Amino acid sequence: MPSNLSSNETKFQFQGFYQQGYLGGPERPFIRVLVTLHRFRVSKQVDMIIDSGSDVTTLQPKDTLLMLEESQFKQLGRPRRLQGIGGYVESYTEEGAVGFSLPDKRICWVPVVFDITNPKSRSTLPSALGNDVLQFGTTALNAVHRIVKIELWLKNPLITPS
Amino acid sequence: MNDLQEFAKLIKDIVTKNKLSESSIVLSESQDFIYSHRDELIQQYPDQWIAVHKKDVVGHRKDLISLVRELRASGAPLQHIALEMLSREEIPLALKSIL
Repeated sequence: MPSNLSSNETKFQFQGFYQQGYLGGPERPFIRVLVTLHRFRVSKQVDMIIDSGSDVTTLQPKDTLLMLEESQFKQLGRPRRLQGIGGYVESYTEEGAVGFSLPDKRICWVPVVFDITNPKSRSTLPSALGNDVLQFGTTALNAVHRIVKIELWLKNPLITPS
Repeated sequence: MNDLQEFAKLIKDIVTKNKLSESSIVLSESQDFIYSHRDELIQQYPDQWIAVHKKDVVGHRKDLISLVRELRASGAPLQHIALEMLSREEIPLALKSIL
């Protein structure tokens, strides 16, 4: 997988999609991304809700459970407490990268720090791609026309073939 | 070796080891099956977590951790499996951190 470290490109556009979150509820914006957790050398494709107003970047508990053994959660260190509607959840931070698919099938990788929610504290907390990533660009959401678009301006991005 | 080259090497090592490209194709099929059959799946498995491999529901439980334990014990290909909570109510979002 040779990487193309082109410095000519700085503006990248990624497409997401709308999907219903619960029975009869409104559709929410999602984006399909690749996720790596560096310390554990694991990776997975994850569909993430785009929560552009949030400052947390959270991995869905369902996906972290498939990526990490339960015993590995003990290696994540001391959790923070996040206040949610109706209660609190414990959350850990872990270094990794998020890979966005470009229209030409290449992958644009951005290093991020993920918030990983302890799956035992609440099993239905959805993920969010917050300002950790989106501070490098803009998000365009249009529920009527089902448009989900993220633009990022990146200097020296890591671009790889899919 | 500069930072970007080190980052590239790290990403290459991880995605190669995990066969990420191949697993993502199957996982997309599994996830898309859930999206396109959500209404009927909710009728069958209301307020349960389901595990889907391609177009097959390979597990369902009220409790996510029990479901994942069951999948691990069965030797199911976890990289290919999509999990979804078939909730009939809105799922709460995290709001802010409390130190």
